[in-house]
Amino acid sequence: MSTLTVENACFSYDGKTEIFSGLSFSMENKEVLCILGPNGIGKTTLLKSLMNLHPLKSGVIRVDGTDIRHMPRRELARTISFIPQAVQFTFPYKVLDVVLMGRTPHLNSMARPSEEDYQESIDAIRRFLLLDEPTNHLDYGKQMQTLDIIRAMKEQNVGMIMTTHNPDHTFIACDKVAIMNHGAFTTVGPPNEVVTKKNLREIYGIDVDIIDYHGSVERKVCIPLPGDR
Amino acid sequence: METKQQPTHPEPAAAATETGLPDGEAADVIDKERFDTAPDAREAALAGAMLDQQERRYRKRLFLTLAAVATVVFVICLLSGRYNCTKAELLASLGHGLLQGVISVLNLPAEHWGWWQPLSNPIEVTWGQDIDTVMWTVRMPRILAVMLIGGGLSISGASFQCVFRNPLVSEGILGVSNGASLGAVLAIFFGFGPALTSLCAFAGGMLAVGLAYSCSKMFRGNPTLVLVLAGTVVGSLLTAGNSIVKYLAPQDTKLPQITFWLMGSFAGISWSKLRFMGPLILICSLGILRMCWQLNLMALGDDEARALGVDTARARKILIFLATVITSSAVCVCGIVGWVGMVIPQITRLVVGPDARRLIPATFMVGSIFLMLVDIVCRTLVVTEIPVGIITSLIGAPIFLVLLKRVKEGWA
Repeated sequence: MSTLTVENACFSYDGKTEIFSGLSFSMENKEVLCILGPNGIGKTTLLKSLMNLHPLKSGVIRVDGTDIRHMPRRELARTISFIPQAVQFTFPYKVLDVVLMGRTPHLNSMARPSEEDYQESIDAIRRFLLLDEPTNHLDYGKQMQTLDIIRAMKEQNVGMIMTTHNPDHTFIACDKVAIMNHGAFTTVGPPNEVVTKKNLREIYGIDVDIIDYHGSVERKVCIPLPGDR
Repeated sequence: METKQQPTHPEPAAAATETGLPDGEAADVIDKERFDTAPDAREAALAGAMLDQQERRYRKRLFLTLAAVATVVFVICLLSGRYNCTKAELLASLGHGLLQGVISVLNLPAEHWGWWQPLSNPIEVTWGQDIDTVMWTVRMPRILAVMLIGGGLSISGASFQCVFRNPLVSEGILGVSNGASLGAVLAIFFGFGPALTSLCAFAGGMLAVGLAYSCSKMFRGNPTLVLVLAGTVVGSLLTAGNSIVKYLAPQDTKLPQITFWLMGSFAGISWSKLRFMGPLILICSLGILRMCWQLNLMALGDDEARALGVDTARARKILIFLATVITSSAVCVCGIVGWVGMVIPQITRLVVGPDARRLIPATFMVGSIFLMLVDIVCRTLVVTEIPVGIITSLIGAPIFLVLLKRVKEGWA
């Protein structure tokens, strides 16, 4: 069991405007936390801070009590992995090469990985996974498959933090939802309590009906309504 | 390199949704099924290891082939030139010299401890002293240097292309060539000798990149982008400095000297210069060779590489240092050789792909071969020697175009 704790996190790019401040939460490696929030509110920035790519201005991020700033990069990479929204490939790498690159933190020798290395690296699963809009750019079927994989990985004790712009996904795959707005998490809780008409109105500025669907599955569904005009 | 298709696994989700269980349980079934039938980790690991073995075999073949080609070109390069003598004489001199080297090593125990009768060289000397001079004093150091310079410029260009994630970048992006030029131009202006001119060029190159690097530290933002900008700024400042010196230089004595230096030439290379730049280029190239995997990761992007555990700031510093030492030592002995550092890595990438574990060593050899061919043309085409820079462009551009057309479906 592992715990990721964020205490009073505060980040700023230029030292003046704070992207988020006083942000605190904690999660274990058997939960899927989903962050909802308007464009440009700092969801990606937060994920990158959790990976120490953007070091915090103040506050602490700990994994099992260890401050991530005091962890060597490689150690951190073995603990938390980060899947960016899009990787821009300058050079035409083969898929296998890119997959192997993803296993880098688990390989003993980066230059000449042995067979055992591959075995270990594939068995090794990181405790936390940060997904920046994992369903972005995917077709409808692959979006659902991705959410399936997220739920399956949860069973392997991987704690995940994902961002999304589709509130329906929180009902399908997530245990907790955090709404990020005005530089902090305004609400955190189970999807059924957090994803409400009022909250969605506040994030997206549109009216959404949320209905209970009783069919081959039972869950809530969001129905966006036409605008006033 | 063909990658075999992994066997596809049956879709478990469809089966699970038709079991008609209440939703929580159905979800569990889906997860379990998908989880159990997910591609077996062991299988995947073995497949990965197998592909890696294939990859290593391919690399071995590739490098042996390139090494063979390089050797052949090296010998041709040694034999061609405008000195009035036969190829056979040159070849005999080459064979005699090489054999003499081996024999003198073998004879060490014989001379010191008298273990056996000292061996003598089986090739009889039937040629004049001048042939030996042409072969061993003029051509050998020159062509060894040409090999190292071609390889070194290509390898530093290739690593910069990975670090800056841009295939159009060359080894001069951080101002090393401009700095080296200014160093050399100033030295010529003040009438220093050739050795001191080389030293000034080397120092100029290192200082220029040091300046660009420290400038980039003053700014926030994407570190590689800031570095390129700082390099461009420093480069253009130094170019201005160059122009000032050229403007002030006496037109009939110093200016032609400066112009010829800037066009690049291998003519002045001697054993003493080779002894200075050879080890530097070799050691730094080996250093870059050890960082191939980091180069691959850095080519994905700075955040991506850091998320995968690479200390990119440190790796970048080391790579820039190594590449700059290579380029400075190349430029200081032969002047500016344009085009090689940008195009040879590209040509190599078109053929072997972008994986740095192939690209970096292959580009070194391709660069060596290319520059030796250029050198042959420079020395044999007309009576006087043609500046290198002209020929690199004249030969390189068509090769690049032909390759670009050929491998449309490959790596481009």
